[in-house]
Amino acid sequence: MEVKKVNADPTKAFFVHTITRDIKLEDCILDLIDNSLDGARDLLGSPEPSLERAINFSKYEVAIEFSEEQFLIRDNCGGISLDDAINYAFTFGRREADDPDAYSIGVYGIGMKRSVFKLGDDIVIRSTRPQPKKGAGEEPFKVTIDVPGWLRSNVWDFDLDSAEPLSAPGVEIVVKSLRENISAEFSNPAFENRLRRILSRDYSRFIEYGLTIRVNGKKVKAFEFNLLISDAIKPFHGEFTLKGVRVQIIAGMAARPSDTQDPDDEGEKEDRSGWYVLCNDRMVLAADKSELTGWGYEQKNRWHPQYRGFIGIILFSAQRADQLPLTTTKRNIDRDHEIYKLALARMIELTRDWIDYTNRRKSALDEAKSIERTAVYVPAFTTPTNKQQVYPRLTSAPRAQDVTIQYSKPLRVVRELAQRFGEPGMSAREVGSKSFDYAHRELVGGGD
Amino acid sequence: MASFDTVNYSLRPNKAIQRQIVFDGLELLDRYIPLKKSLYIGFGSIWFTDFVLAHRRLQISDMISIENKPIGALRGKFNSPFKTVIVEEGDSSVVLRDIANREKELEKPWVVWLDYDRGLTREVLDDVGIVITHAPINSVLIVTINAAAGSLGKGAGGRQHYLKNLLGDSVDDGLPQESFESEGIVGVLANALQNYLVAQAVQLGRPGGLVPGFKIPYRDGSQMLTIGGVLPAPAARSAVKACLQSVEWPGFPGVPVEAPPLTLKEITALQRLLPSAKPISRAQLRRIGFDLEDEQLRTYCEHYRRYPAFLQVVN
Ligand SMILES: Nc1ncnc2c1ncn2[C@@H]1O[C@H](COP(=O)(O)OP(=O)(O)OP(=O)(O)O)[C@@H](O)[C@H]1O
Ligand SMILES: [Mg+2]
Repeated sequence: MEVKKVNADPTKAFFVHTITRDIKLEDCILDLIDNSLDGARDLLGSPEPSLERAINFSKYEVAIEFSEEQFLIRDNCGGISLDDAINYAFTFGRREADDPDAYSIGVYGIGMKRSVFKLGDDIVIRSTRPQPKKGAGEEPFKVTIDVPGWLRSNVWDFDLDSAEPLSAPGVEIVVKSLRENISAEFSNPAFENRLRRILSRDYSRFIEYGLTIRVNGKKVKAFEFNLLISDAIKPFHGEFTLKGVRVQIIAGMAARPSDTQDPDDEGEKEDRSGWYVLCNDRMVLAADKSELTGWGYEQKNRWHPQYRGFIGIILFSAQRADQLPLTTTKRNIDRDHEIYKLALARMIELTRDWIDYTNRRKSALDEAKSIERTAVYVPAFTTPTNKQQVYPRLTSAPRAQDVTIQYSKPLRVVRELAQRFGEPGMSAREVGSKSFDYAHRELVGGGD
Repeated sequence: MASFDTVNYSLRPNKAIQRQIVFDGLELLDRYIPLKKSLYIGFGSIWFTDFVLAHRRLQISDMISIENKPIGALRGKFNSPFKTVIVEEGDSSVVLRDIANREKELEKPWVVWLDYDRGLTREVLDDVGIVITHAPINSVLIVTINAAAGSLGKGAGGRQHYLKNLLGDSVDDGLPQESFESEGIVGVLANALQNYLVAQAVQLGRPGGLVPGFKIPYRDGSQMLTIGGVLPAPAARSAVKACLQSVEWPGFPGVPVEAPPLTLKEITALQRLLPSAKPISRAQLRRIGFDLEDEQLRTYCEHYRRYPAFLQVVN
């Protein structure tokens, strides 16, 4: 195959130096996975995402491997067509004429380029297309980018050469000469753990559809969203459609609210409560507790540890990904988007129900706990359609004659005491209450 | 910090073996990044065992011992082994920050050994953070903590929660809860803490990162753990990595340091069977006239060259 030129339009420096700063390393990796998944969805005939019907992704696999020296991602999701490669895939930004594939995640036409530039200087992208039943298939190709050389030259194009076929039709991207900060992260086991956690959460729908994602050889498990259900506790599950975008919402109780009200107490470092926003099955916001999802919107109902335990999930699906309220990094929401505004109003209402319940609960704690105990966990996505969130009706009066004691002590001393109580992770509140019980037992005797 | 009230140092073979492993490592490292001119920072207590070794084996002369109680500090000063050892009184976090503020201490690499006898707490991690933030290039950081399961909370679930809260992503999410049962916890803690050191170096933007160099679980009455690594200059990173990952590097012993206390007579008899290509059998021991548990025999044979030969303060 003769050497062909790939068309890459405007502003080199803009992309390499500016755009790569606006995205986090892990989100770059997600961008590359998004492309693989778009490829797979295309091969499957672009099925619509939906909570009711599972899509079968079990044939598809994305493998990511990295070390201090290099990064690799390989998929078996069908590869890039030669036509796409020459006219679109390596162009910076989508042209007006190009429509996104149905129900894709990719929409802007910069993800892949931004990602590889962010990673390093020596980039090889290989693609192999499936062989048609009859007739000649497309030749496998590779695009090699030597970033410093490319920056120095006046041409915008990348060289496209023929290449050995990959072991399965798909794409393989290898980046070497990693940037120093990237290489440092790739040698950091905590980064690998974090990435695995992010993938498990953000592609949980796809993993549940059967997709395999491997990081350094190890399979990523799907993050499970579970909600509590009983006669007295029922999650909301509803939907609406506007201008071609289908919005599905699930919201309810995922755990008992925490007993501590003290924001200084070390709570869960990784608190799962909050809103989860998905666009075409891909998670965009996770466990969000900011104004973006209604907490503290117009100065009301700012997030507080009292509200722990609530999970809301909202899925936007659209045939045309450019109608989704997504930003280019796929890590944020365009809050001015008409559909998002409408959804947000619903989200605030749902959050409000929960906040009210946690308030009522405070004065009837024992009753609330005993009702909550009878609830069982079910996978959030399978909860039945239900127009109204239900939380326990509480009748019991507040406990008589309690008094709250509050005092401050040096943190170190509190920790030492916690360790002596046999539980170094104990909250300050518990240490206080245990110390009181201890003193009471010693000096007064008997129970409380 | 000080455990001199509870333990007689001379009867702690595993502590001594662990210390020998660390200094064997430092001696090897000294060939790649010279340590002689560095500043040794530790908790010398009143025994200064590690300080004596640092001076004898690495010829380090500038040394600071941190002591947090007035009486301890006074006794430390009284027992200081060399003219160049300075005892500084105060909480480790305060003294470390103080050292970091003195320009002249930043002109040479540090060899810091935070040899706590308490378990892992936020304060330990704060100290680690100070060192990783301020230590000059080519410094060494070693941390020893009590790794008894109880110090990390009650039950597997409690310990998992506690570690996750302290160490975050440095704890592998994929670990089943059983890994946090008391039997396996040292291994989990060791990996997570090692990950944490590497992660901190990345997060605090150290250009050469941290190359892990020590992971030594040992039994010294209680289960203990020593973790550490080198904070190389970017240019030295690959050489340091090669050194710390080479076969001679002693910092990752394959057999836990859990040798039994032995009498001088037993040591002499055992030593006469070593080195040996074949593992020594218990039958051989019985023929000589005594016996040990399988595990004890195996650890002794693994670590015999570092087993204290005489019961003395410095071995
Ligand atoms: N792994 C892959 N499999 C199949 N096609 C791919 C793959 N990676 C990239 N492509 C092709 O390259 C194109 C460009 O990808 P890129 O990520 O740069 O833009 P995008 O996905 O269209 O939009 P966005 O910027 O929103 O991600 C894709 O639209 C797709 O046609
Ligand atoms: Mg894309």
